[in-house]
Amino acid sequence: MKQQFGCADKEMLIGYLYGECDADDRRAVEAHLASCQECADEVAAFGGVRQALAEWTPPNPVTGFRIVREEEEAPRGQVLRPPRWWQRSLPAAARVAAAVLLFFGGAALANLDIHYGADGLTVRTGWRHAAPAGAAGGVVAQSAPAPTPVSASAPSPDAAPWRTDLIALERQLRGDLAGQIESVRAASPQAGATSGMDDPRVLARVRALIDDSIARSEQRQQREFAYRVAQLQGEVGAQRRADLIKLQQGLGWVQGQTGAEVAQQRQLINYLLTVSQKK
Amino acid sequence: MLVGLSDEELVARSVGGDPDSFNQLIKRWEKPIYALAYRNLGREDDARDVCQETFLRAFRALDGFKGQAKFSSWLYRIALNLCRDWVRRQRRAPVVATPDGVDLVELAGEGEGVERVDEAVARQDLSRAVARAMRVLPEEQRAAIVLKEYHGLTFQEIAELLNCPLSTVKTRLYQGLIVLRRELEKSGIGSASGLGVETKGKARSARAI
Repeated sequence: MKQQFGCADKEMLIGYLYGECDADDRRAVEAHLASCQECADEVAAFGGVRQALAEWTPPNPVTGFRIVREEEEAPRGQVLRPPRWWQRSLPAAARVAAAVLLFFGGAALANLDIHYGADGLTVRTGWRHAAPAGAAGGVVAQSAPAPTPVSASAPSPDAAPWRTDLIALERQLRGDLAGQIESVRAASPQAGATSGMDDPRVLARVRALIDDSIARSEQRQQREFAYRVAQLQGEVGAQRRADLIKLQQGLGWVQGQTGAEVAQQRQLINYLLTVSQKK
Repeated sequence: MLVGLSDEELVARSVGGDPDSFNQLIKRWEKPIYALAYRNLGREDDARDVCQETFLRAFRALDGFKGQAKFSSWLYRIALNLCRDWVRRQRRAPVVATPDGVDLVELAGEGEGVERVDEAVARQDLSRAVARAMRVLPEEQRAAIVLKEYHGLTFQEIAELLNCPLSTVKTRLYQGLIVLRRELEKSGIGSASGLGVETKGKARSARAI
């Protein structure tokens, strides 16, 4: 609103230079500039300076930074993340180790017999029992040659696990037969004549008995094996769950620690920020 | 979608937990903030650091921004504070010991002025001369000149940003223009005038303001 303008009124001159003054002020300055060469020179020089300033351009910034949500970054984060070696490598190894241990433990318990022979891999479980001897009680026949076919009908040497059973059975049969022969000889003097005719029948009978006992033993062992496997599975599963729970607890603890650390650092940074801003 | 929103709307969304909104603000303001920092500091890497730090601080303090000012003014204030700290930190740490009788500030001003702008980019002479002249300006004058000339802020806005009265802003602008005129003339821009000891002495006293 000033109508008069003096050379010393630089604030008003600046307002005029940058076009931030009202019309009255502008007219007053223009009137002064028309009459004062020094001020007119200064305004012209400032105009030149401002033109030169306009030539100064900053280089193109290559900043390219952006704010990333913490959740987004979490899985990829390299900083402030504890080494998670146990999360990746150990559980697999531990699981395998546990499975192997349990397997052998179970195998020992189940009296597992693993045999690799000419007939391929054989896995058997259960305790070996002497073959049920009662079956031999029904044998009626006699004759000395009878024991020989029994031993001859024993499975090939490959079937080693069965041999003890068979030997026991044979012994029992021999004993029974010897007893029978004694009683028959005592009862009938013609026993020697009939023995030759009965041989094939006796043999077939004995074979049937052996087959039957083998089949029954097989069945029982299969059931036992299935039971052991189920038990093993249950144990492995329980162990795995326990391991997982333990791991999760450990993970939670580590995360809690890291979180507390981060919070502390953030607090420190915030404090520094406020202090520096106050300054 | 975010492009059409105002700064203040984007701030509200950022506070609500949407990082993309803040990234939009960065996109919108990183050039001006970088330019502000670059013209105040005269070095590209420093400007980049200050620019990044400005947005980082703004993001952290976003809850405290209640819209009492324009978002851009708030951002400018953070950047200017950082620039000021930057300059002070650098002044406090002279790299080499200087012999007695040498004006350290003067030496630093001249050395940095020539070397830094040279190393920054191979620029045209005029641009380089302006950069050099700007380095001679005292900090407050330079801030006022930069905000006025390159960011087109009003006297009132500058006064608020620099926490000083309106009249002080005008005085700083005037004094700044005087120094720039003299420095540019020394470089042979504008009406050529002699350099001499006298102008150098004046430059030094102007720096001391």
